[in-house]
Amino acid sequence: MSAIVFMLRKSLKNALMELLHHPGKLILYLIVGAMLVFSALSNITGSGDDSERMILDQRILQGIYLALLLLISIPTILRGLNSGTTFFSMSDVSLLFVSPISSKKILVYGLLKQMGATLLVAFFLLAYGGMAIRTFAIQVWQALLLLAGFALTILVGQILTMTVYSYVNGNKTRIRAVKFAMYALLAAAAAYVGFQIYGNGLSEESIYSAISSPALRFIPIAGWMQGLIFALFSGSMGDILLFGGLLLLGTCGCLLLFLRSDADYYEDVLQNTETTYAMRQAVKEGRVTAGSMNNRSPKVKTTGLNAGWGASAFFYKQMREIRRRSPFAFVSASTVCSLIIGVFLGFVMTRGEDSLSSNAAMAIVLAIGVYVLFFLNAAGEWGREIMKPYLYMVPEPPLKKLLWASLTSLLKPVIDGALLFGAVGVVTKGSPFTVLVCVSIYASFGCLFTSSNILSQRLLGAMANKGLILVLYSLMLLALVLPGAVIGLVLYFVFHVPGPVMGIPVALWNAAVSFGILAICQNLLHDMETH
Amino acid sequence: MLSVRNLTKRYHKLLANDDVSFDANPGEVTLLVGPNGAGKSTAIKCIAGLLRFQGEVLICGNPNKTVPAKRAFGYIPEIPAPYDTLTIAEHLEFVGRAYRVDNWQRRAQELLDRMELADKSKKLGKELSKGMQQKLSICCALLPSPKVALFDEPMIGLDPHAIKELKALIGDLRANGCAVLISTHILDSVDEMWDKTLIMMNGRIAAQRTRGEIERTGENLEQLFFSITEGGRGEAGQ
Repeated sequence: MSAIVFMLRKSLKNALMELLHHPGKLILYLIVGAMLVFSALSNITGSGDDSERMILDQRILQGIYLALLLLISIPTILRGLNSGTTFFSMSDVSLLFVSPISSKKILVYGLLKQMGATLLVAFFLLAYGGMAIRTFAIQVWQALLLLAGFALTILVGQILTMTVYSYVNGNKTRIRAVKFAMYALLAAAAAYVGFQIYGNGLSEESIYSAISSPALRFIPIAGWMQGLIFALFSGSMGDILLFGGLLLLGTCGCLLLFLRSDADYYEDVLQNTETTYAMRQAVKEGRVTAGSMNNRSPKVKTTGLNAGWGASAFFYKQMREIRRRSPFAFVSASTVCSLIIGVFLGFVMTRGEDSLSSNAAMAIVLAIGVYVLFFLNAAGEWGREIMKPYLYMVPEPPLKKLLWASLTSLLKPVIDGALLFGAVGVVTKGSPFTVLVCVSIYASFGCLFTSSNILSQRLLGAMANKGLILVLYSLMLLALVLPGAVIGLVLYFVFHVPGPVMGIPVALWNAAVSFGILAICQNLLHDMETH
Repeated sequence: MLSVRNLTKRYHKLLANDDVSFDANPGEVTLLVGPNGAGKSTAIKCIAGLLRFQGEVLICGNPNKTVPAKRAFGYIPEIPAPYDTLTIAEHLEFVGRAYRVDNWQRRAQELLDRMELADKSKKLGKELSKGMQQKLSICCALLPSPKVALFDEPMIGLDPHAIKELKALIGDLRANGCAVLISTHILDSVDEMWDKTLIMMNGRIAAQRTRGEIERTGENLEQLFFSITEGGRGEAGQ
């Protein structure tokens, strides 16, 4: 055990020393940390008392929290069914696994390391904790509890994955059975919510009651965690003991089952450790983007690019790749998710006593949509293309390559925006003009994010989705967006134009800035470095 | 032909290539050999236009980042980077269309046959083993019939048949007047095919010999290599 303690101590010390040797990195970490804390604190201590600002029903928080917990635990378990999960790195495999140390002690070491990682995740969620405090009028300790529950669910989810994996052991029938059971559980939960809403009549009240129903707290892990956290909120001792006990029993039971099933778990985690290592290496060397880590191969039906000559071959190649990944081409899982969330929000906000106007509801959906688009955009086709050498080597003028290679990334937000706001417009009974303005703004932000990504390549020399560069990228983006937003606000407050009209300068400005950036960066492919 | 003049590449404090100059002539195979970390791959990437550098690289008389230069060279990277969701045949179609290669289908079929990939043409990039990715990478680079071919550790990961076929392909390129530059640290793998060898050490060309010089003087290339890489002896400026 002393060897393991030594390793943990040394790893931590070396990581800190490494940080001290790179003061630039340390300063950036401190800035990011300070910004997170500041963001959380400003939300907590923000101006205006509770009576002045809009406070949402805590039952919405319960529903969202459960959905988030399911969102982080279910995909982990599904992914882990085929290849297991791992707390270990390749150096652990090659040095620790072959050493004369008990495999159980090594497992404890893995768990400790994982707990460290989950604490980091919780820290990065601080800003969202602040947002929850402000939006749902909860206390600081309650927000901290929500974050702790989130981090714990990640840990427990991985322990459960390890156990389930060791029992299904690559057996396809068992994998199918477990997948069926999980989907059935989710379907039952969704059907329960649906029937509750249907039974009590479609209203704000019935939706809130359904999504915060106590029955949902019996969904293993995610439901138990939600039950425990909200029982702690209300101080309900019975529920605290019930859900806390279920979680403790579940976690210990999983660990015991795992150790009893096959103490020799090395083989089980080896494959996943190797896969994880290969992926991390690939990302580190810039060979793949984090978004392209899907192991499943799509079926090859129709083949061939069938069009394109010179630089336009990039566009037709990307279209083939897009159609292969999704039969509906630009309509991806993210489109469907944003559609469901947008329609749900639009519906909830425009019904009931304190309902908002359709313009206000669509503006909120637009703000959320643009926020999500910011994160999704970096994983687009352009992000993938820039990692490959062909973009630099194909003998075509740089601007032509830049335009053709980024065209699919520019088109996707236009299509996503049209679908999203078309549907939200119908649900909220919005005017066609407002829908058009929302689509234009959404699409213009998509163009701006893609072109800013290209600009960040030129200014910062790396992809925008790489850790700390994201902060600088965000600041740059803010500076680019600001003039359009200011013009819109001036029109609204000084010239009293109708609400939707102030979106027009924002969309026009974003589009102009996007194409300006593309024109300025045309020599990017000439000057850039790839690895 | 390929002409490299005063190529210098720095990664922050590390000087990866220090004032490197050499020529690779048409119809000749030039080897860039050296131990790990000597700067071979960096030099090849600079020549391929993938890294910024100081100095000048001319391909058939054009600076390496111009369109005519890009049209003239083919690059086989050390780590192949196929598109995950494109089939082998679609990779070649893409290169054929992007490089505006007339009758690319015939040339693509010929290369697929030689590299034993014809029956796997519907396999996706992500389904290929490292060796198959390397074979695909070779096919893509040679499809536009380049006048300068840059190979970065081309034999790694290949099976014996593919190594034999690659050597034959390199022989064909040489016979057709292509200037071939091969970077490697395994001398045995390229023993019988070179015309000129450049030995790199610490980012510089420590020595260079033609096959004629070696045969005339009776010098042993392997001994020269080890005397430079292990003994620290160099003949910079030769």
